[in-house]
Amino acid sequence: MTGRLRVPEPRCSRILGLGTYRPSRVVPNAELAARLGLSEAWISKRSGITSRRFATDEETLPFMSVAAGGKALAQAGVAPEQIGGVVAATTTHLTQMPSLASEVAFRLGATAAGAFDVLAACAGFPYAVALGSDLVRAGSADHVLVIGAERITDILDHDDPSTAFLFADGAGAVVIGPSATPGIGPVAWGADGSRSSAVGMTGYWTPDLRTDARAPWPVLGMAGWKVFRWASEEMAGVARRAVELAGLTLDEIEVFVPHQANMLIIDAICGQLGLGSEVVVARDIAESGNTSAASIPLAMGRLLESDEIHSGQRALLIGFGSGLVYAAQVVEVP
Amino acid sequence: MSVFTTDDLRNIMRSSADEDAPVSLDGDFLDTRFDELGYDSLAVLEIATRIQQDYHLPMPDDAVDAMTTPRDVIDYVNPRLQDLSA
Repeated sequence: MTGRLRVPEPRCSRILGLGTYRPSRVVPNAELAARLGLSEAWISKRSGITSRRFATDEETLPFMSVAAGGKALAQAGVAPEQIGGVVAATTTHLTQMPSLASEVAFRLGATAAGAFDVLAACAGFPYAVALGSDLVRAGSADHVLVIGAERITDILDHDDPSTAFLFADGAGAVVIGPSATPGIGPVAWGADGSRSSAVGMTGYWTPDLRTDARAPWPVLGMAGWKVFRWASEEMAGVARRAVELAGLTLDEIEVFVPHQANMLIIDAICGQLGLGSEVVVARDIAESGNTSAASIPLAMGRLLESDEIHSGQRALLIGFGSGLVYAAQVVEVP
Repeated sequence: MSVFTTDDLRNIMRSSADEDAPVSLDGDFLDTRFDELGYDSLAVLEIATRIQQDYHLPMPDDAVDAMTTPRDVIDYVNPRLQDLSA
């Protein structure tokens, strides 16, 4: 036996197409304010949100993911059978197993794809983009469908005035494929479990529900100010690191698409980065709320639909959330 | 700067106040809860951040978490300021 183990030559990757799905039901602040004991003006001022979208019973996680994924494939000009991997970032696939990704791959006809979910909460999308990019670069797959999809309303306490007006539902997807030139930069990421109390579930399968079947439904709990403080103090540095890893400087960034957590956080990070007025900043949160792993593709989709950005521009993405975890990378707009 | 007075706190609170919902800090406000004074958790964080910057005094999350009234802030800040200047 003289044969040697062979691996493909490393190659570049880029985002080839993007698709989104926004739930049909628009929920303005007026619908939530009274129940929460808050004013519409206060919600708008403290979050930048004027309305958000809640999924109906029919708009399930697989339904929204397939809709977004199908659009991304069409825009990329890639057939389902060309997909070698499906990576779904989600925190709200409450079925737990089988994974969301395997069902989406099946429904889309991606019969040749490996499929799995990624749990990195509101940082899920840039985590999954990093994985998808590396799968393509290493030759594990020629094309990867990356999905960010959430039905946060399923784990929301609709009477909690600190979360109920912030979070919402939706899905976004991108197709990543090989490229002659670099289209996705290295990821700058990390996790800080010492800050886990800032945001997470208030209850658990075990021991809570196992020992007491009448225990309350687990919901998302958050000390918003802790997330705000951490994100506004730490994320600008992570964003800078992603730009450096991509071999660029901040003044070469044309588009900034941060996770749409809260307009105050977006403003704080932009201020710390000192972004010039010529940089297009995604502010989709105003009409979408915080859709966790779906927020970055939804926000980029809106900028593309409104022609505020165009293909080939350099965009800096950053996600951050429960963990606490974070990830950032520079990509070329598809 | 080694003593943090009620007036110092009042000035910081006034500059952190919600301009749409002016609150009176003229009387005895030290033992009224922040939420009753119109300061939500982000506003309390803003007060803590100002003190951290102006007095170079670390204000960790746990300390901010425990500040429910203005007096809690005074009681946290003063002994530590004295330690810093000692």
